[in-house]
Amino acid sequence: MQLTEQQVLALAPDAQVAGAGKKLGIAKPWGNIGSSERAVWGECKGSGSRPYQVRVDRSDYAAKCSCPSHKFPCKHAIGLLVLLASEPALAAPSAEPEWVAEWLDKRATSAQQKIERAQSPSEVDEAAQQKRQEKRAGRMDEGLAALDVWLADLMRRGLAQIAGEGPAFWEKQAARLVDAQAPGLANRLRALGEEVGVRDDWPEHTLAGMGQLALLLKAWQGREHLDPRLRRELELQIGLPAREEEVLAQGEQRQDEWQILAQEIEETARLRLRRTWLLGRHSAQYALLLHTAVNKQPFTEHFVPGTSFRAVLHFWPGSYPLRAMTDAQLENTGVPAAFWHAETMEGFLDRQADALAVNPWLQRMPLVLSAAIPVQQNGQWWVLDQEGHGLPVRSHSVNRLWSWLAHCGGRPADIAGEWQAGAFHPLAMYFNQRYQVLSD
Amino acid sequence: MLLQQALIGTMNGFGGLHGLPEEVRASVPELPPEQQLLIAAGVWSVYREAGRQAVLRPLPQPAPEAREKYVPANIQTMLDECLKGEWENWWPVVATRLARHGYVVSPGKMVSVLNAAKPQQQAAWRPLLGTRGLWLAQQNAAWSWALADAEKIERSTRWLEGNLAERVQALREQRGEDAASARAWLEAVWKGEKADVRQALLEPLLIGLGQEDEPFLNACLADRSQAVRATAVHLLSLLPASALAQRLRERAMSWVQWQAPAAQGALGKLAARLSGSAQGRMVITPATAWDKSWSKDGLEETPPQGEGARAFWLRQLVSIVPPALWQEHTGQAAESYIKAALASDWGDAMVDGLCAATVRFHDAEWAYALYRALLDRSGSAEWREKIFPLATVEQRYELCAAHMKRGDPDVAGMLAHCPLPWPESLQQATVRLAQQSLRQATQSGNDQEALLALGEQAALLLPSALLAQYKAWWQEAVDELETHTENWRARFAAAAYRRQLELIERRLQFDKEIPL
Repeated sequence: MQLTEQQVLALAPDAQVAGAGKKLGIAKPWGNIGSSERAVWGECKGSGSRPYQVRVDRSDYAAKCSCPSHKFPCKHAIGLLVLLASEPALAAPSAEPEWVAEWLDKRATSAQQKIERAQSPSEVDEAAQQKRQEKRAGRMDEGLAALDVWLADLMRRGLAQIAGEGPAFWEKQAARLVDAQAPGLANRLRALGEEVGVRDDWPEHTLAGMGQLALLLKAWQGREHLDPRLRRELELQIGLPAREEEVLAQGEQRQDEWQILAQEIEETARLRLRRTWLLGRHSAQYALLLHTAVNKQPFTEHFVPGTSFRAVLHFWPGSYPLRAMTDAQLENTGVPAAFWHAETMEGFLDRQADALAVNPWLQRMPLVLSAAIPVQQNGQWWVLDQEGHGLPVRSHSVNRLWSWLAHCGGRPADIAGEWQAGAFHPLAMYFNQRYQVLSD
Repeated sequence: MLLQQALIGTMNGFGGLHGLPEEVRASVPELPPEQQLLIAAGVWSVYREAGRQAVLRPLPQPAPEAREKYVPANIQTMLDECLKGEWENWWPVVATRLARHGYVVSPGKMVSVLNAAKPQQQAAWRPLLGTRGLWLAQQNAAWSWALADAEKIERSTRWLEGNLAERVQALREQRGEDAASARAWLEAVWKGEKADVRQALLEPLLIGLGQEDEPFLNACLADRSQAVRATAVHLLSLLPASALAQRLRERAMSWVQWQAPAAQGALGKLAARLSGSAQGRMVITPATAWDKSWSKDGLEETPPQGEGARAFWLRQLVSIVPPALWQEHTGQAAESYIKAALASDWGDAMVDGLCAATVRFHDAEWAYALYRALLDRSGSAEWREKIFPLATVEQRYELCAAHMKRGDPDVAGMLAHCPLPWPESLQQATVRLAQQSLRQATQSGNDQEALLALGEQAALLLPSALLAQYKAWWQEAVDELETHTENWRARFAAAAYRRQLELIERRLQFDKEIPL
């Protein structure tokens, strides 16, 4: 199970740890390096009198080190993994020392406890919960009704009037939605506001977005009569997703070997949101893992893009299941040398049409396009198939697009990315059978 | 239609839903106009997205096929640092050796090189981009630096329509090919340009400077802008047959004369030899009053603070005539002339002037002679630094070794101008000096700057055969310093020495991966 240096450095919580860890990726300060099925470990000579003991769990790259650093993984763990990336022979299989075995055993028991807790829901005061839910529902209904009125008012005045409004205009309404327990709607509104005056086609884009919101509100009003899956989807879109325990117990499950296609971390004021896209080997199903971390805290689980693992995924109930979570039973299975499945352009467009038919509010779709060729002309980017059929391409960073072009040299190659807001956003590809993230 | 309605707003009238497919219209229930508009917009957007078709577009030309050898990963980290600007002295060696072995940066790094290569490094990065890098660069105007001249935009277009930097570059290229036509280009646009542009465009005339340029330059002497006049003077002074140069020479020769020794008796001869004027002596008589016509020749009247007027004028005049003039004029070799100049009353002005002239006229013989003469003169370090690169390569090796024998570790600047391969004598001298300075530094804890600069140059430029021993001394010094952990100076020095060891390690690794 080999990671490249690039993948190891991606595990670091920030650039400073990555740099310091890289410096420690040489043989000199290390001793007592060993490996077993479950973990790798080593002792690093630091500035203290006793060497620091570092252990890394092979199944999920969680690390524990005896150094006093607050960051996880610390620079010693990164250093050990960097060292092993270039000289794997140093970690000869050997018996686990006590300090390694103890930690691993403790992790296993706590993971087991989590599953048991999920499977047996705790006793809840039924009446109080009922009352709370009613109160919440009432607040939300009010908030959504207010949004309805607000949208209608905009239509009355006309979009041309709002072109001059600053971000505060949208923010105010978004904040009201957050208060009304509808963060999903709030995010949609904010995103619309950001594009006003920015995109060339902002009037159409804004109108389409507002229309979709109106559809959501209309559907929500009539939710009693909807298919239960569609109703769950609506809840997800509004921002009322089911809780993890519920998903573990009741959500759709799928066992497969999953390839980690790409990963993106979105930073907001107080939160870091990490999206990890997966592709199932046997099911050819896509999945999306969402993890959050508060402020500078590290993410508790690690998923390394370009690797694969075997697990049961639990999907959030909805009409087009995409968001999923893992349970503790995860087994790393290696480093694939190519994307397991890829779609033609026509295949993707058909899939998208089918998806929209069951979930008209779908905003993002992961995909791997097969034999794709990027091309740019006067700053406009397209992705073409070998017959010349093209779809528009966009990205936060134009360097990513140039990097894509550099890697494929204008020749067809599979590319993993996301379809979002009418354009393809490339994220990663394989070059000479090695996984490459397209960097900013 | 829908969009138009939405932009105007329903309060200005609502004509119903038009311009939409029947299925979309039919799906919108009976509702107030605003709701209708919104629902229709929502349905229409989903409808359009679900029915999206790919658009036919022309296929691009792929990159040319090429089996490229990619830089190994550990050398790549060194390249990343060079890109950021570190290892400035080592970078030319790395680049040339990698290019010689045919290595190319991997596609993942091409974009950062194209974006971030510094202008003075660009020529060295070009071969490392390979066929694919070049293909990539052709697609982005910001990366045109990576293209060979042949692919660049037509020169005359760049001359007429580019920004100032591009125009200067185009003029330089044209001068290199056809000096006269380049001058014609310049004359054609001259009157219409602003002062700073004129000055920038005049400088390329240095390339291929010849007598035919004199008329144009003479006209520039009367230019409104001081900067343009100064540049014109500079160029004319480099043309020995120009009127200006002749005037300056005559003036210089009248101010600085050589008196041949008069016929003397034995005692007189002895006295003369003792006073060093056996071969004649220098008689310096700078003018006592300023002549207005001199400012046209590029001389300034008012001296800077602390310098006398006559010394200032003398210094300027000597600095704009070729040093070879003095040899012609007096029949003396450079060495003895310099010695006489130093001994005279106007020594400082003469020496400064001679140094400036040496730099201006790139005279290797005088550079050598001046350097040796100034070795012992205090305060001459700045000039010596300037004239050192003008000596021939052989002379530089010799001067460097001579300087090192004196035990002064401040030679890093000189070593940077000594191209590889070094002769045996210079290698040994460097090694001995490094060892000596290291021992002294650890014992006395003195200022380490010169030593560290020397160390860096030596680590990068010494042949690898000597590096093992070299490394051992530094290791010894680090071990020694680490026993004195209480002393903060020692800790500081130890950290700096450890960085030196890292550098040596890098160099050894590089030599192993990319052999000479």
